[in-house]
Amino acid sequence: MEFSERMSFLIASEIRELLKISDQPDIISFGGGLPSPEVFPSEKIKEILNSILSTNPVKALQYSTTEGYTPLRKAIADRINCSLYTSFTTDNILITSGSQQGIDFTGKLFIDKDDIILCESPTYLSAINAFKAYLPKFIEVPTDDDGIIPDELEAILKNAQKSSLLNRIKLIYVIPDFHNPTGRTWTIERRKQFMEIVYKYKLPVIEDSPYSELVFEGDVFPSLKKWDPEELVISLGTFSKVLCPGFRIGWISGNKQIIYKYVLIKQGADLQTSNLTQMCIYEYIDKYGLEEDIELIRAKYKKRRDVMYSSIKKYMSPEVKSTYPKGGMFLWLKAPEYINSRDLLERCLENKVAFVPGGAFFPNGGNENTLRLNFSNMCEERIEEGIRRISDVLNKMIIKATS
Amino acid sequence: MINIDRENSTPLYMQIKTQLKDMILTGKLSPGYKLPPERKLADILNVNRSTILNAYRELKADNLAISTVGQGTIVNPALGSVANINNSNITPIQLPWKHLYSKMMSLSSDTITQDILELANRKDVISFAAGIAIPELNPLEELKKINEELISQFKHVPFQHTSTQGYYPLRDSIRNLMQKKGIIISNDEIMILSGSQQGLDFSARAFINQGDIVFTEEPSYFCARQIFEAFGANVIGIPMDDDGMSMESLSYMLSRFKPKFIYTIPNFHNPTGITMSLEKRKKLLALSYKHQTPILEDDAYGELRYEGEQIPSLKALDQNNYVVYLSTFSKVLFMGLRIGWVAAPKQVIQQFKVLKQISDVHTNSFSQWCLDRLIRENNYSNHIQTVLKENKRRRDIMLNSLNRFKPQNLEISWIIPEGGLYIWCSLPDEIDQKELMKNAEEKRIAFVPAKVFYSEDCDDNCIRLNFTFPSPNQIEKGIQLLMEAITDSYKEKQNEANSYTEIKPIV
Repeated sequence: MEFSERMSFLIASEIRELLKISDQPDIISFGGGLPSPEVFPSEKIKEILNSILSTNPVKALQYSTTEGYTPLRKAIADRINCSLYTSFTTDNILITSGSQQGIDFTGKLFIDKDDIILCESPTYLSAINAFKAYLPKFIEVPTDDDGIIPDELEAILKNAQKSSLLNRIKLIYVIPDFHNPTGRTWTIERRKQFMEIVYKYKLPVIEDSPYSELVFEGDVFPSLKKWDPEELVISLGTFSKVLCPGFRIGWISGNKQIIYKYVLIKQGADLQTSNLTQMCIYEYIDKYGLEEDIELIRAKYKKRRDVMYSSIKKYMSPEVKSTYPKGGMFLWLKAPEYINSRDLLERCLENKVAFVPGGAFFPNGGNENTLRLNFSNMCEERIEEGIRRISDVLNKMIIKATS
Repeated sequence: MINIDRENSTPLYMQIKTQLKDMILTGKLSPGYKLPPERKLADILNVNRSTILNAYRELKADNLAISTVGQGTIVNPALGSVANINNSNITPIQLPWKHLYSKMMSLSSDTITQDILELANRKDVISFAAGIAIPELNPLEELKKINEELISQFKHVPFQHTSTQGYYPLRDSIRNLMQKKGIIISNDEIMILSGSQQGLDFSARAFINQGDIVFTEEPSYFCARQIFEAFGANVIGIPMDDDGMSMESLSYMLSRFKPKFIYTIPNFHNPTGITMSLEKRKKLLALSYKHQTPILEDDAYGELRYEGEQIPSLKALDQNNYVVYLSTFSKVLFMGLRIGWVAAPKQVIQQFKVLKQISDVHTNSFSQWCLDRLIRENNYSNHIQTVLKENKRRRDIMLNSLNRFKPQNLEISWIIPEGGLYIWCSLPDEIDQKELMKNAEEKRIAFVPAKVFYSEDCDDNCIRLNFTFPSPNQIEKGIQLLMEAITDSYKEKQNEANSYTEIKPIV
């Protein structure tokens, strides 16, 4: 069989291979981006499912419209109007099968072969892979502890303008809150400066916000939507990180006309997201709200972040730089240049500990001396033990290389 | 309102400019607002007039203010609503989104599915348009029980991520179901999809490059054609006989073109209801081997046979791993769960897995657990029997109603389907389908016209009628009204023919 050209750019992702490994119970895995399962409110969900099946079964099990279950869209609009400073109605919201689908649809909507996508360096691995299916080029915008670096972005855009490439730049994909993989959050100044540049060059922005609610400390910064009177920002959200990942319910929010385009794409891709699960999430929010669950998750993840960060300080060579995430699920390590984290992973697996080598998060390659660690999915003791094991291997490699 | 810090190294005029700019951009000073005369502001702030002059000059350079005769300096009225943004380089031009869309997008602008679903959901309409199974038949009590048991027993586990290829026990259940139909494959050759629509999307993505050719039956399921075209395919339609795709045409077309795959709905075809004969299935496979062209077999309706002998699927007959087989549970139960599957050679499953990973990671876990449990507890085959019985009853009611209400003076005929969801009904040439749709809508009747299913203009004057979604009463009433609408359209046409005036070109 002869496959299409786009398939040759897609390879089974490292995360997938890792999820396989991390399924083995004796491995301490900092690999996947999995939420902690113990906080899931299964009893409440059971009640809700039962009540839906008793009171409104036909609707729950029938096709509905592609846009999604209207009360849920309304609930999402109400929720994000507070956090995104928008005045969205149901028409601004499309329900997707997880926010991954929003990323894939974005590629379908905007990207022709050889178009350019701007993204942070590094950026979310599965976004890179989803976009790759549409055969784009990537330009990585440098970042630091405060987020994307506006001057670098402007320089890139100026250059593109000079070389008449500006029209090939279709969008910029960013994760301003508790970024995957680094765990960093953009400061408010950076957000403003970023939007100024975006407005100057009229660039569509895809703001991916799966982790925004998982804040442990410090300020909660507004979404980029706050500075977006012309609706250049398309935001992706999900319930996977705060309620249940297996339900695969996310959403796209933005300008009505653009949402309508996404609806057409959804129609061709899978017609609609499961109705029963949409109703279930709506009823849950309506009955219980999400705040209690989110509080539980925050407290739990914060503890785990603390343990991971202090273990790194305790066990790891000071040659290795760590980010200090104020929320989210990930922490990012930068080892000295001579360390290759793929080699490191191989040795770590022998010691029954796993992580994701950071190189995968750079669409144009390089940066093999970096690591992404997930802290949400392992209990505190295992986190400390896992960091100790990684440190053992890594410290030895550093000593060996420097002596 | 303006604070000046004389200790600050920033020049005074810049301090003033920055604060004014902020007021303009935050909307405190609205577009058109008259700024104080230079001398007056200089007095208030106790600075030189030239300082204010410089500050205003900077604002003008940023296009935030302009000089007018008579009014002095005012906030630029052209700023409009964008003045809310903190931006010193505002270009008041809207982003031309349209030019940013991909080529693929410009090809998927057809909204017919949406329109049909919306029409079908309108309470006052009798809809023969949807492709929806009988809504009332779902085994709810069983589902409730399963749901209760699963959560009590497994707590949070059914709500966590499952593997991209699908929940393993469900794949195994599906393998079992398929085995009963003579399709012998391993669990590795099965993948769970979010409805079989996703299988069409993945097939297009995995196989089609811009300009590739794909064969389908003509007519065929319009969503499939739209998806293939969106990924850049040239879709070529192969005409149909009473027993499926014309093998003469196919053979000839294969000698001329090299399609990426042949898409077919061999069982109870959408829209015609035709079933491909065993002989043709064998012939189709032989041709596909000869030309090394894979077959995409869409078996959405395979379970729904009401009479006649079951014919083995192409997948069951395939000896050489040429068939990618798609099916779904949506036509027999819980369509809202959105679960379908693909059975294909491992190398194809491998590609589909990659696509699944980037498109929605995996299909809803809980739905997969429920469905698996339902199949295992043997409720599934009982349920299918119930569905078959009721579907057949409704098909017969529609066939009877067609016979009963058909106007005697008009040539209306239809194909009796042995299964599936549709009756393909042929109307006299004189009927204009646009007119008919209008007349039918007035009577609150919906159907799907033939042209939707064709890749190019057609003179096939057929309509597709679904008999499962409306209730038996609605079917009778609806067919009667539809026939009245047809008669009306026919009469209008006759009148038109009598008063025909030649249209002269406008020069």
